[in-house]
Amino acid sequence: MPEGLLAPPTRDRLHAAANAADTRILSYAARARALDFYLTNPSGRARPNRRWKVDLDALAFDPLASDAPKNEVAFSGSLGRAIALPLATAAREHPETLAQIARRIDIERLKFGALALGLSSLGALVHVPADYDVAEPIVITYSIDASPAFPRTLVFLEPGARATIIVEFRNRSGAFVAGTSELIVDERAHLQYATTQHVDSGSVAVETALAQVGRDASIALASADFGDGLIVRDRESSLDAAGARMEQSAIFLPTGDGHLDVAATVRHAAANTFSQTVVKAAAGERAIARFLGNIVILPHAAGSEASLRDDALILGPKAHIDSVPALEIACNDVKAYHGATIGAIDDEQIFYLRSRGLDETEARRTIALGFFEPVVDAFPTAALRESLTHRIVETLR
Amino acid sequence: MSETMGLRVAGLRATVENTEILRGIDLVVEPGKIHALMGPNGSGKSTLALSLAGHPHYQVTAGSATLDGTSLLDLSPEKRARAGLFLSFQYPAAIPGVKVANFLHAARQAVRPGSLAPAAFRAMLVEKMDILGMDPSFMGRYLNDGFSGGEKKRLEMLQMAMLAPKYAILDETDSGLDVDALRAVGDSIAALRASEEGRQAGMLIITHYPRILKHVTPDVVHVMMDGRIVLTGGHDLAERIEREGYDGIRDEVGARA
Ligand SMILES: Nc1ncnc2c1ncn2[C@@H]1O[C@H](COP(=O)(O)OP(=O)(O)OP(=O)(O)O)[C@@H](O)[C@H]1O
Ligand SMILES: [Mg+2]
Repeated sequence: MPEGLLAPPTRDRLHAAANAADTRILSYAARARALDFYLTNPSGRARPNRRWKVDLDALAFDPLASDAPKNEVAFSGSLGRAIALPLATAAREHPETLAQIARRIDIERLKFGALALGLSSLGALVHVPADYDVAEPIVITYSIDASPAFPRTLVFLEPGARATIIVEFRNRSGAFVAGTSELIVDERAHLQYATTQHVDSGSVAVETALAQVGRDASIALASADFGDGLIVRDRESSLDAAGARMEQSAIFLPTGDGHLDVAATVRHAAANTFSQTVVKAAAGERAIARFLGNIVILPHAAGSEASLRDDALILGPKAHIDSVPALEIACNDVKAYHGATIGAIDDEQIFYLRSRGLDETEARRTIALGFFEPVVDAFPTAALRESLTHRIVETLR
Repeated sequence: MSETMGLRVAGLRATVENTEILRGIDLVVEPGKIHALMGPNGSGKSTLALSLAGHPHYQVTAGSATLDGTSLLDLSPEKRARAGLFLSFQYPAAIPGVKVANFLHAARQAVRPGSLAPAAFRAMLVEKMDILGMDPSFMGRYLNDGFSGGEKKRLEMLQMAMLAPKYAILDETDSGLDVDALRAVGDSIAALRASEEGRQAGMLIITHYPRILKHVTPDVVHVMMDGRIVLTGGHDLAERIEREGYDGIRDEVGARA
């Protein structure tokens, strides 16, 4: 475990790190990049119709340096032979596992990943040994009180392992949270990984996610993002070996002056890989949702199949949804599918439901809930599905 | 029977996008009676149905419409449904993600609040689907989403059976149905009329074909042309239209006018 990776940074330390030439410190590059990011991003709040901007200048770095951080990570679910630990404990007890993940997942090549890697003092490690099936979902709950926070979630499934992980955030109002998901799913393993987050006005939530899926392994990602804050997601899944599969389902529901900006990339880097992306984005009031779905099929990925489906529902007269598909296909022998719809709730649908006794509000809610239903279905537990439905209903109220 | 009972339409005029389509409709469907409404394409049958159901694109400019004494025209579409009006759509909307069973339950609750315990609701649903020859798997499917034309019409009839309205307007429910489906629709209507809830149900069946009327015998047949009801008669009127088309009637009506 490299020295200093989890040490609390300060503004001074950041500057010092940037100026230091000691490349033996693994986190050096990350900190340099974090600093670079911090220096080159002018202040400015998220504003509709403009590309998001994050005011790092306004962030208090002191909480990061405090001895008793108020941010916590908690776990629930019975683990059996799996391990789930706070990152700080894992750094002491399982440095080899962390180093292994660090060698395989290059989180710092992504801007916010570098930021998190450089500044994180909070996080979780889940490690499932080979051929072990964690029967119960593992729930990781981050309670973010001190801002900024950079929670890193590291997951390592050894060959043939199976696990379901649910990540939840309890963020205090106005918090800046830039976390990562660093996921390794080795051959024949299966990971179901679900995240939900509500980001309220004035808050910023960034996630940088990298997943690596091995031979005949599969990953099912499900995410739901709500709120009127700024939500930034940069997700990339690599199907690195033959037979690797990934399914991702996402709910985006920004409201108020909320702004959501998501880039999801799937890399098909081996033969006979499979990916399916389903996105349901709805924006209310003056909210903006921007989704970039990127499918990359490399030349040696023959026999692969990729589908990208994104549906957008405009719920407010001033809401705005941008959906940009990008398919880079460098192999002939593949199947790739892209489908997208965008629109408001159809008057004929509303009238149909009203003619069956539902009032207009109920009719709109029913249609919007239906819009999200296939993706809600992709979440792992009944309790989670119910709470999502509840949250959608509350949001649409 | 009281003078106010029935689905009573008088002098009804309606426009769509500033074009007058209904030009004075007079029609009374008494409780328990079956009326058929026929007429060439574009004569205004669906416009009448949608205007009565309260479709926002249709503007009623004159006349009245009451349901057992309640004026419909001032009511929102949902209040018309709750008052006991049902429209079987010629083109039912698809609503992805909304499961048939959940929707039917919500609709039943809205139209007849608290009237059925969940178990009784389930039992009723199974029974009605059986009459309509619908596979139980339809309960878990999304509302009209990917349904064939005939399946949509059966689902409209299932909704009617579950909601047990006082008055139902069936807009070409028979179009696109195979012979078995047609018989099933007939059976479903008969079952509704034999039930406690549906005993007094009045129906306005909009159709182009007399064949549905072999399964559901109408008490009265109306012919609509150019936004008016031009002829009213008995069952034999449907057969005459089948034989002669509308030209004879058009000439006759034209001669009278
Ligand atoms: N939304 C609309 N916009 C424009 N014109 C309309 C609209 N709805 C109906 N019309 C017109 O009103 C007239 C009557 O239409 P309507 O659908 O009521 O006829 P119909 O008797 O039901 O015909 P069909 O037997 O073909 O179903 C037609 O000329 C039609 O084009
Ligand atoms: Mg019609």
